[in-house]
Amino acid sequence: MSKPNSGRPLVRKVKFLLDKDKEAADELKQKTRAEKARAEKLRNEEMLCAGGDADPRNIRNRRRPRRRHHHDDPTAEQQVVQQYEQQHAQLLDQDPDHQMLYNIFQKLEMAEQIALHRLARLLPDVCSAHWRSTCRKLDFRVLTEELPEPNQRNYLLGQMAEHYRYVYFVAHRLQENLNALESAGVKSLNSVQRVELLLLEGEETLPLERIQETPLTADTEAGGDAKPKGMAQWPLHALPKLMRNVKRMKAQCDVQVHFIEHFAQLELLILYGSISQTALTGIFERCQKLERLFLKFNDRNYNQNLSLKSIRKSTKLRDLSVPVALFNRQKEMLMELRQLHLLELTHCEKDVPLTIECMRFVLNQKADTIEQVQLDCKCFAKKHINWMQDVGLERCSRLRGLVLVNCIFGNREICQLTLPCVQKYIALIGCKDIKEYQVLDMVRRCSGLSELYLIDCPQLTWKMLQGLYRIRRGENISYPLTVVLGQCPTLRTDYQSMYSNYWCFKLAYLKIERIQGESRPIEDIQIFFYQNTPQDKNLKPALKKGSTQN
Amino acid sequence: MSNRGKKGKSRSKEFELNSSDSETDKYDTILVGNILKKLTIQEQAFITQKYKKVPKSLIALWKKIYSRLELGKMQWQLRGENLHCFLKLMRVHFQSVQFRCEQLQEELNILEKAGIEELPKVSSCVIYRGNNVEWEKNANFQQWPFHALPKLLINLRDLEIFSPIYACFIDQFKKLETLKIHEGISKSAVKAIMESDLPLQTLHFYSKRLHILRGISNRTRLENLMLNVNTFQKSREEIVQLPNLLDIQIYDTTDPEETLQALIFMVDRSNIIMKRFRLNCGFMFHSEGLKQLNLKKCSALHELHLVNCQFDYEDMAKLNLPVSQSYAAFFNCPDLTDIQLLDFYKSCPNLKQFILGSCPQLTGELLHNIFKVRCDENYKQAFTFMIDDCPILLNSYQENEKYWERKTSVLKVEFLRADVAPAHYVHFYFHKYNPES
Repeated sequence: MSKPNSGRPLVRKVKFLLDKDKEAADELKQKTRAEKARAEKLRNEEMLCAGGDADPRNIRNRRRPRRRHHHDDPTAEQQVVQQYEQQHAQLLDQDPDHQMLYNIFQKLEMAEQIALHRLARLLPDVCSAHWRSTCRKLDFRVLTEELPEPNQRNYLLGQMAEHYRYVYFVAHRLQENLNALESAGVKSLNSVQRVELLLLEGEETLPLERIQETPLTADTEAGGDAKPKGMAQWPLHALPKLMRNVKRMKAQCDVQVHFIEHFAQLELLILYGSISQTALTGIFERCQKLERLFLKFNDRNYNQNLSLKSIRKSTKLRDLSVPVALFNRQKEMLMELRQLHLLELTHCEKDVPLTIECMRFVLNQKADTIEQVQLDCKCFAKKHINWMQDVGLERCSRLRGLVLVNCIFGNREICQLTLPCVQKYIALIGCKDIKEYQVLDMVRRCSGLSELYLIDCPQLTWKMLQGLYRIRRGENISYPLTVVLGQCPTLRTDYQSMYSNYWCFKLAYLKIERIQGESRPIEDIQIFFYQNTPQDKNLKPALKKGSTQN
Repeated sequence: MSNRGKKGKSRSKEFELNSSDSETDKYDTILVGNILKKLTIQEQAFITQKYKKVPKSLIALWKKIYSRLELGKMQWQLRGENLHCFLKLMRVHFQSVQFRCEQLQEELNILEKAGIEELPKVSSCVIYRGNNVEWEKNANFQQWPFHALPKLLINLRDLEIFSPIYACFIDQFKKLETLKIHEGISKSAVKAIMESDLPLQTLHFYSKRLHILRGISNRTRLENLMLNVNTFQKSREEIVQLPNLLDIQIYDTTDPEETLQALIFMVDRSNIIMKRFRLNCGFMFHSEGLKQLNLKKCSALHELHLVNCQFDYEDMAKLNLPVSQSYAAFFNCPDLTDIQLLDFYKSCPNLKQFILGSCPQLTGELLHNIFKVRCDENYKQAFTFMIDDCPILLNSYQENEKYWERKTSVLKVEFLRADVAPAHYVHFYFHKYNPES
């Protein structure tokens, strides 16, 4: 490094021996200090360019002369340097940025601090890379907590705008959320594939009383009708332009405006709040890629005249979830949908006879194309124990899987219950009163059964296992019956205690396994149909993998 | 600027230039990534926005925390390349340094490996010794590393050494003002110090060894001196010639005769300039010593401070105590009586305050008597007692507290503050030398 010429010192150094001359020496030093300061200032002003940060450059310049003269006594020059360093240090202390930086540094060990000193220039790139791998989710529920400073928030949003995959908006604060994005200069969130419009805890959609007061017509104009205080709808218009590539959407709020139909790539839509008729029609007509539609609102409260009339236009729709009442109104049309794979009926407990009637209707039309049925039988509990007979479930001739949750069997024989003949597996979850003889009857009825899932059925004992073995031995089938247990500790311990002596020889007929992982609880009624494509031989029930709601 | 050779791998630069660079880049990226992972999102956003300020900020923080270099402790936190990096960055910011004398060589090695030749801002240095009990047996530990210190610490002002010194290196510090030596020091080293032109102001010898301080009168800037009696006796003629001497402490008063002789000499020569005198009379067997000291000659004394003193019920006037002081303190004087103090009070016209600690024979009579005498004369200021651990006196005061509260214009009683402690040694304070007087 070449040594810069900082100019001759303005004063020579003189040594003083006697005390009384010290004051004179101090005065002289002060004078020279002042002169030196002036000279330095002039020099530095020349070197300053417009708009630059003067301070660091000054210090840098002044450090250079210091290094050269360190052998001498503190000359006037050095004292000037010291003075400026002190001032600089004071300024530094008062700067709030440095305070915050100090707080951050306290979290690091010394070795890391050294590394940071050396590599500070890498921070922006590394940070962006880090965020891209960890912060794929933009969650407006926590954004203001995590980043209260707007400066930092805007920085993060600006950096990550193109990389976010999931966005969660707060429905009632959508306007604020969009403001935050705009002030960060974010024009588009192109990578977002999943968006959710969420309600925070305690927020409701429209209150029930209000709905019944205002008279509604089938084709209310979006945004223009006298809907009572709900969520502001107009910010929703901005969403499709913001996020063009959204594939999955979930909305807990009410939707009245036509915005969802502009999501051209939409494949999955879940609605927890109400939706206006025109919006729904628009979705059917425009969202050509829509494959799965879940309307999870309670139809009783909302829009009793909602019609799914354009559903035929949605050619790719495979999975559909509707409240029972809505289904009831449109059942003929829905049954004509050829490509329907999953039909889910929700809110069954509100009107159980209606549910049974609808199920019977479905079976009337399509009994032989039903592949799998999953039912939460809680709603059938007291008055409709004979639901299976009422529905006529035995008409399902090609049923591969049957899942019964919270089913009450009473003390009846299975043949009385008209259980269908299930080809692959039966799952009994939470059936608190099922007894061994009932299970055995089931297995006897469904010869060739491959898997039996028993979860939380407390009344079963090891005698059932014996019975199962005997049945299977009598049937002479090439594969064993796999019994998968969950929450049945006594059965399991019984099996394991006798395993080495007895059960391991019977593996050809009976195998016991344990359920793996947690499974989502099954609610409502799901009916799976065979597609026109060849059957999927590896159909597994919704227990091991996720269920229909993704 | 960046330390590329950190992993110690030998790189053939011709062939591997690109790959080695990208390797270190990757490593660096991972390092920074690990650091970022420790921070919350808010901190990450903040530090990334302000990344340009980070290096300066770090140095400012280190300046605050590590203005003292202690290599022993530093090594727990940093090793190898990191330590060198830190030392280089902070080289010009360290203001004091602490070495351990057994590991001095290693510590100097570390500094050298880090490429540090000087620590220009270091103004104070302490060289500690370890807790090695067998100290004397290992007395032949290395002295030669000491020679490197003057070049390293060019601006050193304050040096304190806890190990014995045989090498002559102290005289090489051009700016040394304070020197404190806790163990022994060889004659040649002392000679070198005395003959050099160090601007010494404070010189303390803490050990019991005898040091020959010939030539000390050349140390004209010396203001503060601490030595044991033997050393004092050997060089006392020269010591009293020191023009700027303000403060001299003499300890190790085991030999009463010697000590007394030394004190008599000192009082003799410097009685007019004595400002404060603190004496621990433990070495004296009886008050005869006080008589011989003849402190009466100290006409400019402000403060007298006597500890562990025996008065033997003598008449205070016979003890030749000084009369000019404004403050008198008596600590741990088991036979000091009210009458003696009263006499003493009467003989000192300038007295403003008594400081009394652990004088059991004093009673409330003292207060009454002094009050009476005080009332007769017209003084503007109240006389103050500061008392600690004089049970009878304090009891009496507290019983009559209401009475005494009304008399605070004449007499005040306070409890002794913690910062007034009894002297351990003999301590002379002199008035500042004013050539015009």
